[in-house]
Amino acid sequence: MSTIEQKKVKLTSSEGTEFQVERSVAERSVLLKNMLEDVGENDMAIPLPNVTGPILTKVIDYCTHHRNDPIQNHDDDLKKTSEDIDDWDAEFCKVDQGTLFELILAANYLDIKPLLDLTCKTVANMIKNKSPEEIRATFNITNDFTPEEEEQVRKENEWCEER
Amino acid sequence: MKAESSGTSELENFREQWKAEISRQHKKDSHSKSPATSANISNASVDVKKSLELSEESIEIEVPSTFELTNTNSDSTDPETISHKALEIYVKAVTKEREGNLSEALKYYRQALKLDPTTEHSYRKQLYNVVNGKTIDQDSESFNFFTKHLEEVPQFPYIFIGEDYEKGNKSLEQQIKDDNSIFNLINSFRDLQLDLLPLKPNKEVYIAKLPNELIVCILHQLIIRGDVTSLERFALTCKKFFLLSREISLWRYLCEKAYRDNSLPLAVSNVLIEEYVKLYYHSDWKRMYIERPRIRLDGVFISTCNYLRPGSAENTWNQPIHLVTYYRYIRFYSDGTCVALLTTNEPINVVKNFGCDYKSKSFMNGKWELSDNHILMIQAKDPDLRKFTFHLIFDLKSTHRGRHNKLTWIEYYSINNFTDERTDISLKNEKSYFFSKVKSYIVVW
Repeated sequence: MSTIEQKKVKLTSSEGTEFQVERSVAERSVLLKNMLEDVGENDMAIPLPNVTGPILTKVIDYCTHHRNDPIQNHDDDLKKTSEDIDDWDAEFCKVDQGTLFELILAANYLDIKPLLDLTCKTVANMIKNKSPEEIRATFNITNDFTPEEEEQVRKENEWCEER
Repeated sequence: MKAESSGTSELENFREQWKAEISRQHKKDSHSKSPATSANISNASVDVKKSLELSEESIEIEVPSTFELTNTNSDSTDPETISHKALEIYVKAVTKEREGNLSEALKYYRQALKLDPTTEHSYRKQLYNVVNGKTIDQDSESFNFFTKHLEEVPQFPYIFIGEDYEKGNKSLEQQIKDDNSIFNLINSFRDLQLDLLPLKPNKEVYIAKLPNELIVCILHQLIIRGDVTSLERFALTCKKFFLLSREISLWRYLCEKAYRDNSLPLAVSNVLIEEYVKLYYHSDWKRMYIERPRIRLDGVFISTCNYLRPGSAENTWNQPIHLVTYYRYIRFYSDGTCVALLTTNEPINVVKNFGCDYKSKSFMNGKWELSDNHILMIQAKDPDLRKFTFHLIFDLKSTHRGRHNKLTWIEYYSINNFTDERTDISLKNEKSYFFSKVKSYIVVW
């Protein structure tokens, strides 16, 4: 990266709010990276109709913090797991469920694989080692099985509680 | 080495006699409250005293001084405290017995019963209350150790008494019936419009915003270390999640990890696994993962052995016998390595830290390989015995409690690395290994 100030990229959230970020930050998103390469030097703001202002702010936070990370390749990410979420990332994910799921959607849309993994891991940790009742309570979902169906599923899943 | 002398059958006999005595006593004197005082003990029929004395003489148990103190003071102590104390010792005994350390267990059982002959009864009562979800009927603080005990016990389910550990065979007919019913269930759900309904109607269901493929992304993160139990519990929450949990890519991932042939490049190994699932499991990856034997990495295999060793006698009319308990441990890793340990240390002191960097005598590093889906071959070396390579060969079996959780010995021998000389090692005292899941073990694939 150069010492001279980088060219800024303009992004517009769904409400029409304009954000200015450095190109290296924007390029954390594969979607934006490809767009910028296609369009070339341009002053036009890129519209992101699927992302709200508050979520875009969070995403920019994340990308700014991780702007100098090496690009992850697919084989490496299997070695990374929920146990190795670092402090900054863990703090970043301390948000309400609404925001967390919005972040997953945004990471998916903008194609930011490490952010998608991080947010999915965070949700996975909310499922881990919980009983079905606790999982339902966590995500506010109703059990829609009939008792007979539930029994059948339970029977089929019995094997995994084996020792 | 354990200093006490005794035998397995002694323990059993003693408990039987004692139980019989208690039931008799209860019939005779139904409103006697806590018969822990010395007066009550002398009331008890002579039989039990005799048998106590008899076994006392023949086994020679060392009784720790703490117990002696409580015992001599028992006349002046509150019966409540005594029965509490007795229960505490009894709990220790049960723990020791479960760990397979019979000689320690025997010691504590005797201590507890001497203090309070009704201990077993109150132990069972407490257990019954807890199992049935009732609160323990004593003041909770002093009985904390009891609940703690119950929480600890299931962590080490490797002592296997009776039929519990025989493999239950599902009949083929039953299997087909079960399969059909689950497929019918899946089909009946497929036709439905599956929405997530809120548990609390005034709150939003945020997860419903995610399309299915993103929920599958979350599930991928969930199983990245082989945590299938959480996945299966997720499946039990509702119809939609039940279907998503069956997503092929998840089970394929698990199979490719579990059946990875380390001697082949990844791509080749994966092709072979795919052939296998087509050939034997009708491309049902989940079925393959459940049924095809695999070495479990999320815990430790433990073999508990007891043997009797004659002790040295000070005089001719007293010949002590030592009951020695030792343990063999094996933990496997996905890269084809494993570690093995032979020790008298109990699981509770070993399991948590047992891994590649465990420091101990009789610790071996090895390599493992599973062939024909059930023959497990281990080659291991002990850093203190560099001359030899040890070969352990097992049959991987399933039991009633779970699949692929038992290793029975086939052969055990060592090869001298310099002379190629083979020496067979006796399996006379050796027992099968059983699997115990260990939560803190992280599976690295």
